[in-house]
Amino acid sequence: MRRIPVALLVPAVVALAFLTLPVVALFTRVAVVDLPSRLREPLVLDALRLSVVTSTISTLLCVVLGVPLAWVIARRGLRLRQLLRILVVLPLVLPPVAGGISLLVLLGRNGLVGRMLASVGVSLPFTTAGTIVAQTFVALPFLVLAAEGAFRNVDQRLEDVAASLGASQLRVFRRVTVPVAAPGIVAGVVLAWARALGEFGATITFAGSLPGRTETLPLALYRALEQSTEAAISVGLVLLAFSIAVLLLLRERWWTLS
Amino acid sequence: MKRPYPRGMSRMRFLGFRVVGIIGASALSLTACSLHQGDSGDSGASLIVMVASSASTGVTAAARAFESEHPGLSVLISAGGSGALVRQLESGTTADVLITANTATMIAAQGKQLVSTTPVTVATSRLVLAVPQGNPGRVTSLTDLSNPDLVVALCVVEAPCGAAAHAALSAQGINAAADTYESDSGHARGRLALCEADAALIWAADLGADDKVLEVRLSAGLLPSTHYPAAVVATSTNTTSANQFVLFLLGARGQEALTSHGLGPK
Repeated sequence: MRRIPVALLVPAVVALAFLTLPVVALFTRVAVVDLPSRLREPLVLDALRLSVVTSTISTLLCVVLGVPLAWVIARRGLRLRQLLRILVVLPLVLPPVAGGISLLVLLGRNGLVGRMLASVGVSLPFTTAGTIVAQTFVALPFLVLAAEGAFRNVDQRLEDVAASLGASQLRVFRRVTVPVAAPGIVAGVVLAWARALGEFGATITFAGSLPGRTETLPLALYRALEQSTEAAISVGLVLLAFSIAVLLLLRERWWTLS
Repeated sequence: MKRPYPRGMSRMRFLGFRVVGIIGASALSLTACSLHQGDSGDSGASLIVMVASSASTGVTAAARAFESEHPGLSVLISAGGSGALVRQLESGTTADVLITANTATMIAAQGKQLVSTTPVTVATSRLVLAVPQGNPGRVTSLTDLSNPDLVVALCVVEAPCGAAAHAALSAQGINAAADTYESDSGHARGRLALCEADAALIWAADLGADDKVLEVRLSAGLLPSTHYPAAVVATSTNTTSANQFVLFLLGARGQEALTSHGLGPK
């Protein structure tokens, strides 16, 4: 292996330390042996279960909606592509609480669309469905941006060959484009899932906080902070341990692809 | 050869967006308490007052009056949930005066030796049953809070308004069907102001001057009152001004400012 230039090595080490040291510091405040007993607390267990269910559904929604959008953006002309990209990125630059408020204004009981939903008996705020909507809203841009980059890197000659052999556009998309772009899409899926799992601001603003229904792990952590820093750190470690477990499991299957 | 990244969308920029999102998310947790700087452009001394959100409008008004009596001194108001304020002091935030929304939280602060003077009550407030303008849920009594068809917002039991609500409701055998637990009284009020909730138990001080949120009158004694104790912070470097400010809150001008912003007299 060639030597890494010092000018690159120093900032790289600083970056790695900056990312990992805060996490390491958590362990200095709470005994790891306490984690299993923390996990058995109903508050933590309910919140963990809710987080797993909602972030998984949100990620699936992101895939179902985001992959087609990413493909549409990737295959448009420069002007339109740039415009669409700005629209996709908007929720990213919006503070999550502001995102939650905008969801309320649109989908709340008195919202533009929410009023229509209410007339057919559907109400999103303060429900688990509302939590999923908030998580999808903040996670979707990550998936779209990653998948769009992946689609743009697919050699279009492959698609042309498949089409010339008689495959329909949808079939080309399913059998050629998506498999070739898969590593990039998977990276986007992991980013979106991580963002949904850690989501706080939009969720608490749009869906409120009720144990078992809308209180996900990050929200439970915020409430635990009212009791003690140690309790909050423990909840944080549960979230961390769960994320690491999932990433390690995925690594075998997909993570190595990207 | 194809470009490794699409035009105008380098890897840097893509990651840049990601960074923005994460900063946005973490900034949220840091802005739970907001700092209002006084208008005085003078570079003189400043006094930092940490106050429970529900009393912040009144205390801000009192601070402006205090500043006019003490030229060159600017009072910074840091508002937040009572528990959060104490936690900030614990982790070393510098401040001069602490005002909480109940005595229990102040006693906890005293126990941790975070304040240096004996707390004095500077204001009071009542817990009220509040509804949005027009009372869409037709809420008339505390028992309506157990109606599962209504959207009910309460404070988390860890917050003073939540502790008071929990005590009052369980004393009356009411099992509230809460739809959301908010971090403080002001957030619960926000649910009513946006008309997303039908009823909430909040401090009277949070009702606000606009008629967006209204109180449902109940017979006296059904809901408790609270005291707002004030004390000088142990690490204050400006104890003279801090003591003066607490005394000012107890005096005629201070009380006038507090009571004209929804708080009850000391």
